[in-house]
This record gives sequence, structure tokens and C-alpha cells, in this order.
Amino acid sequence: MVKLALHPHRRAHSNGRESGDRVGRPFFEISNLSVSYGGVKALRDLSLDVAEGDIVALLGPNGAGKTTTLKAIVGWSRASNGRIAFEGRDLTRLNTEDIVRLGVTMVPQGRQVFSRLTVAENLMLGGLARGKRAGATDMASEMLDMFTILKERRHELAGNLSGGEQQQLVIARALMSNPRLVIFDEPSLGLAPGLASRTFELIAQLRTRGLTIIIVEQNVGLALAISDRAYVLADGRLALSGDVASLRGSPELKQIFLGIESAAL
Amino acid sequence: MTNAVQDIVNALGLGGTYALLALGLALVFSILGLINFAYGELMTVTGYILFFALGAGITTPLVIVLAIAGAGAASIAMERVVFRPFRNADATTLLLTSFALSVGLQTLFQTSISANAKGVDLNFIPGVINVGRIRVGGIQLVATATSLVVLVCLGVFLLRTTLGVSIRATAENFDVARLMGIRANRVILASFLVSGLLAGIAGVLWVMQRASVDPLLGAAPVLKAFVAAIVGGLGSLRGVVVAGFLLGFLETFLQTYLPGSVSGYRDAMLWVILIGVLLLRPQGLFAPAAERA
Repeated sequence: MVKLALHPHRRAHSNGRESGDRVGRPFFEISNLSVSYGGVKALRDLSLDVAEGDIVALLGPNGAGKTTTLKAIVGWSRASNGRIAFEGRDLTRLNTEDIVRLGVTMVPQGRQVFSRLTVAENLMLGGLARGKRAGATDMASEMLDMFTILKERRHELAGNLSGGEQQQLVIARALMSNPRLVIFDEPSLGLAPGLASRTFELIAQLRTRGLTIIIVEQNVGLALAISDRAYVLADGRLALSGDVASLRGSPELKQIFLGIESAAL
Repeated sequence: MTNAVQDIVNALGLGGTYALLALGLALVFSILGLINFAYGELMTVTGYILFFALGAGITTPLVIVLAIAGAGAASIAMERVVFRPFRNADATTLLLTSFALSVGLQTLFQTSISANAKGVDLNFIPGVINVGRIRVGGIQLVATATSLVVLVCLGVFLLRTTLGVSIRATAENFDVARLMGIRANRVILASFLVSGLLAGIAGVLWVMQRASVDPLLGAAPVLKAFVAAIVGGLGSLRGVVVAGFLLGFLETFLQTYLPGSVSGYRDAMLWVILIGVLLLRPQGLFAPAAERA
């Protein structure tokens, strides 16, 4: 049976999933997270949790607080309140460099390859976080086998790759750090529809590597197609959460997007 | 023929010194968005270390090493003490901070050492070196060779080492570089250290030619290096090196070939040419176009 939870301005920490039956600490958990920019609260009291091996979508219209949430997770911005825990360790006071070393990484919006570095250099940097002895070289050759176009063009500047090739490069670069939680920020942004679908297929395949994935995405249809669960933000708050099956076609979700995305649902 | 070779060596020596300084400015700028106007004072620090260490009777090679290392240490100290508290400040604040530091240090040198020039005699290089039948200035030849070797070493460091690649990545995208696990503080420290060592090397070359040090020693060459960095395009390290040499050649050849009646206008002509370059290419000669901004 599926369960759908509505969160109209909820304050106390609870989550849509019936998590009481799970033993031990959650794999990844955000509790009562608030983030402010110059006195303006961009995110209020967000709580969510992600089970190991799941793909979880973080949805919502523009300005809902999705990117703010991601920036707080990877340490690009500081939480003004609340806790972000990965395998029980609090990330909110850590630097980005240390968060990545714990096994959490992000594929940033708009690809953001190092355009003046070669493909091989981009991959090499991706492997820095795993440390010298942990087989970064093996991982690099595995990535080049997985993404054959990168192998062909490994000595070229990343800035000369096409959008789709750059998308493959940033995913391969993120995998180089041997992460256990990968966050994708708007992976379909700026890609042609066919390319966007292929990117999502690739993300879905990553689950077979034992990865846990959080996807922030404007394209609700694409995100729900590969996700297990979704959290929906509106105006900096959690508005809705639940299993994908229950969210698909739910009037509440349509309401939040005010019909803008309803064609895609 | 002899004259032409001599002029070329002079131009390479001067241009190489400008290139080292422009590179030092551009390196820190590319990481932090900071144009360090106190950079000239690192050259001055180098000069005073040479003066005091020679006065203490230390041998010349050791004095030179000490002076260059001192400039590196002073550069790191600038970052830790002055610039780090303003790390996330806007560009104007950083600019004003570096101006204040520059004026403060100049005043400190004037009051604590002397407003007058102090003689520094690094006389281990022959005035004239004969290469076959061609006679060239010894100091100019050393300046040329030194700057070329340093530039090649720096190129290898930036292109071939993990730290060098990390610095280039951080220069391009600070936030994403940290996502790779690159430690921001380590990269910033390295760029200030390298930048300081470059100022130290340029400082030694400069003092060799002038044989003296005064509180304003670094101001003029760093102003020219700053112009070279802008003309080359601050984001392009190759560009600022080429622009440094270009500036050296323009200055040397204007000096040599302008008729005596207008030679007083040398610097004015130099600036007019450079303003012309910037009018045609405001982003700098070699800066990759806007998409890399």
C-alpha cells in the first residue's frame, strides 16, 4: 500500500515514510533544516530522509528551495538551523572538501566541467577525494570504458566537448570520488529532450553500482520515472512527500505546480 | 647586428621580469579575484633582505636564496593576516585593502629604515659577457635566462603536477574545485607562495640592475606588470606572459630607437599603444572570449 503525506507548514520533524520500523540510523537524514540568505529565509524546517540504495527526487517550482537544500548539503552554504546527517555524521559544520571525502558528492547544475582542463585532468581531479592509494587509476580506466566517447577525447579540453559529452564527463568525474550518495542538480537543464532522457537512464543505471541518489529536477515527469520517492518543496517548505506511485497524478502535486508541469505528470 | 642582439637581450631581460610579475599578479587574481597592489612591496622586501643580509656578511648566493624565500614568506603572511579576513568580500573592498597595505608598507619602510635609497651591490655578474663575437650585458643575459627557466618550471608545475592542475581548476571554478576534494586553503596558500617567489626572483633581478633599494622600489615595475596583466587578459596566464615580454620589447625599442628630441615621451607612447590595444580588445589580447569569463 502506498502512502502520501501532505505537509502544510509542518514544523515538527516527521517524514512521509513510515520509518519507525527501520532499525538504526538512517543513511541520510535532514532534520529541521533552515537556511537564510541575508535575513531572508530561503528554506524553513525541512526534514527528509533517504534510505540506502534509493533514488529520491526533490521537486518544486522555481524558488522553492531545492538548490538551497543542495548547497547546504555539500557545504556551499551554511545552515542557520537544523542538522544534515550522513550515516549518523553531522555535515552542517564540515567544509565541502571533507563532506566529499565522506562519500557525498554532487553533479552541479549546468554541467560545469573545468573547460580549460583536459578530459583526463577533469577525471584525475574527481579522484582526488578518494585519496592516492584507493585505486583512482583503476577507477579512471573503468570510467573511460564506461563512457567510451571520453576515452576517445581524453586529451582534449573539456570545454570543446558537446553538451551531452560534458554531461557524461561530470557524471564520470563525480563517480571518480567513489561516492555513496550522489546528488544531481537539474541534470536535464539545457539538454535536448532525447539527451535528457538518456541522462536519466544513465542515472537509473547507477543504482546498480550501489549508489544512493538524490535528484533535483524541474522536469517532474523525468524525475518521477526513475525515482522511488519524492519530496516536493514550495515556498521554502516541504509541501508534500511520498512514494512515486502515490504522487503520480496526485491533485496536490498538480496544485503545487499550478498546472505548469501538469502535462508532464 | 651586435646592437640588435644586445637590444633583444635587453628586451627579453626586462620583458621576462615583467612577465614574472604579471604572472604573480594574475595567479592570485585568478584564484581569489584579488588584484594585489601591495605586490610591489614584496619586491621591496626582497631588496631590503638583500641589503641587510649582505650587510651582515652572508655570502651572495645564500643572500639571494634568503631574499627570494623571504618574499614568498611575506606573501603568505599577507594572505593570512590581511586578505584572509576579507576572503568573501567584494572586489572593491579587496582592492582598497591591498592599496592600504601597499601604502602602509611603503610608509613603514620609510620610517623604520630610510626614505633614501640604500646601496645593494650584487657584483658577481660581469658587466659584459661575450657570446662569440657578440657582446651583451651580463645582468640582462642573466635576467633573460632566469626568467625563461622560471617560466618553464612554472609551466611544468601548472601543467604536470596535481597541485598545479588543482590551482588551474580552482582558478576556473572555486566551488566545483572544492567538490573535487581540493582544499581551498591549500590552493590559496600555494598561489600566494608561488606569486611571492616570483616577486622575489623579479626583485633580485631588479635590484641587480639598479644596485640599490628604496621604499618605492617595487611600485614602478609592478604598475607595468599590472598593465601587462590587463593587456594580456588577467584570466589567461599564457597571455600575461606574452604581454609582459611585449611590454619589455616596446619599452626597450622605444628607448633605443626614438630620436633624442622625443625620447622623453617614451612612457607616454608606451601607454598610448597599450590603450589602443585595450580599445580594440577590452578583454585583453589573449583572454579567451566571454564564454570563459
